[in-house]
Amino acid sequence: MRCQRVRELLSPYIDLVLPDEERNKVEEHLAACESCRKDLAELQRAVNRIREMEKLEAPSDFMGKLHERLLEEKIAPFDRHRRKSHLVNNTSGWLVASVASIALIFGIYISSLLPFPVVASFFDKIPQFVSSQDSELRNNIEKFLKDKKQQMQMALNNQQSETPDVKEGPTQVVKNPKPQQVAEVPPDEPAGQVEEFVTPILINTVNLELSADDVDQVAKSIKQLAEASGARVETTNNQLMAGASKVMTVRVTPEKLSSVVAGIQSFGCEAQPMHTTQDLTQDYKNIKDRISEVEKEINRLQSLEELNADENNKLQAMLFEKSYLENKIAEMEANTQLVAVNVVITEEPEH
Amino acid sequence: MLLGQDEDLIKLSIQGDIRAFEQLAEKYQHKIYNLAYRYMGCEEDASDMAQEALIKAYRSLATFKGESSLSTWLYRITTNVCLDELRKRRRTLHMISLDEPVATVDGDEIERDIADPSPTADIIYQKKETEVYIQSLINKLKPEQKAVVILRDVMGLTYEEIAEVLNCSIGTVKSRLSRGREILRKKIVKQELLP
Repeated sequence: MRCQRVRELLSPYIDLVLPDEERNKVEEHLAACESCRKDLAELQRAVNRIREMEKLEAPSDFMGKLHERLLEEKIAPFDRHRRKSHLVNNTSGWLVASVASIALIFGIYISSLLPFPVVASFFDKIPQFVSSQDSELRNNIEKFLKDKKQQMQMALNNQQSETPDVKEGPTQVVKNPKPQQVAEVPPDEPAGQVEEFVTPILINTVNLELSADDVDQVAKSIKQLAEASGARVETTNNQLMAGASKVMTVRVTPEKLSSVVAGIQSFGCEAQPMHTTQDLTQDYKNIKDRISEVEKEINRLQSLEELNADENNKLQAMLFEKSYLENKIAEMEANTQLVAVNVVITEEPEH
Repeated sequence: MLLGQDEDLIKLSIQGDIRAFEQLAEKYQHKIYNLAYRYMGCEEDASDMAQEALIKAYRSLATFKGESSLSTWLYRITTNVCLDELRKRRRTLHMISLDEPVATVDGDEIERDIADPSPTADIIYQKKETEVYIQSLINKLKPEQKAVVILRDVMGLTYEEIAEVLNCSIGTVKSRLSRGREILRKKIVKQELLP
């Protein structure tokens, strides 16, 4: 047997799947050929390295997310046969409303944390749980998000003409344009009414911008570095930014902040990090208000003796929205204890 | 091939019982996630793809006839979801495979594949680094080689099971695995020789 043929057989040889006859021939050759023995040892070592890799576990929120998607599957049935039924058309309207308001509220929330281009591109995307097969639903949401994006762009233009200081730009820009449609808080409370006390939701943020040849690789390294310091990492690539860019939010305890920031900067940050404090109290309150509106409607629907198909669909959509928003609230509360390091990594093509 | 409990849960899931399906998903979530991670190379993509695979499984559970084990069937869906996504990206990003001729010549490939070594490297970190490095090599394999290497060496499937997952012959599994491992061997050995 020639060396070349033996090398082709080394892989099945180490897996013990060669027929006896071939196996004997390989062994005969190996006994006489040092070069092939070396290849075998290297191959075995390489395979061991792969086999020793950590068995990763799904993140803790995996089942929760799956539950949301399964619920959505139930609301917007997936198979062709059922999609054509009358039921779905009724569902779409409620689902659009529900998804759109979540998108909007969530849009406001992240707008306080991220630079404008990131926020704007959020409105390019449709929430993932919307079935790609339901074109009508997607079109409606697309239209809604497009309108929102335009509104935000206009708000940005207005603000830029008022405040020429570009330096403050990236994180401050989108704070003001709070769309009025959702969970409006009356500007003037009637006199004498006792105002509910809301705990301020303040998040300290540090913003960093990096350029890299290989965005994924840098993102991975940052993630490793952050996780080694016990930080929580959210990467909002693919969903927020198109092209070879990534946005990461590393949530870290104040004690670990400086070492994590220094570590991230070592991956190629030229500008100084920008520190800001984001006041999310109003966003928090808006979400809370929306939850109570949704709750009221859920209670009303649940108190009805019998629900028609339309009401039932609305109830399902509202329950879905409520659980989604409650998760957001819990997340915001948890995040106040940590500093958010926002890292925007953009691709810098090789020369 | 099915355990009685899985069988009951599948029946209930087909009838639209989300809870039943979630029990199945819970049982296999880590393996599916691990598999998706090795294909995609990062956590968020792994999570998205694993979710996508499970949703697809939920939708098409009625077509599962129990001829293979449920895990093999789920791996097949996960593999298809991940490879489809990778092919889609490959078309748009023009990713370079490890064994494709590369425009820049000579020994620069490895430096381009991996990040700069961290200044804070300790032993635990080094182990992680090695994993990151090996994952980066897997990332650059051609999809069909990547699939056999992951299914065999990460997931521990037999050649027969891999042939089932990939819907190909055992001979094909053998030759793709041999080729894929050979590429990794060269790269890993080369890296080990570096200071």
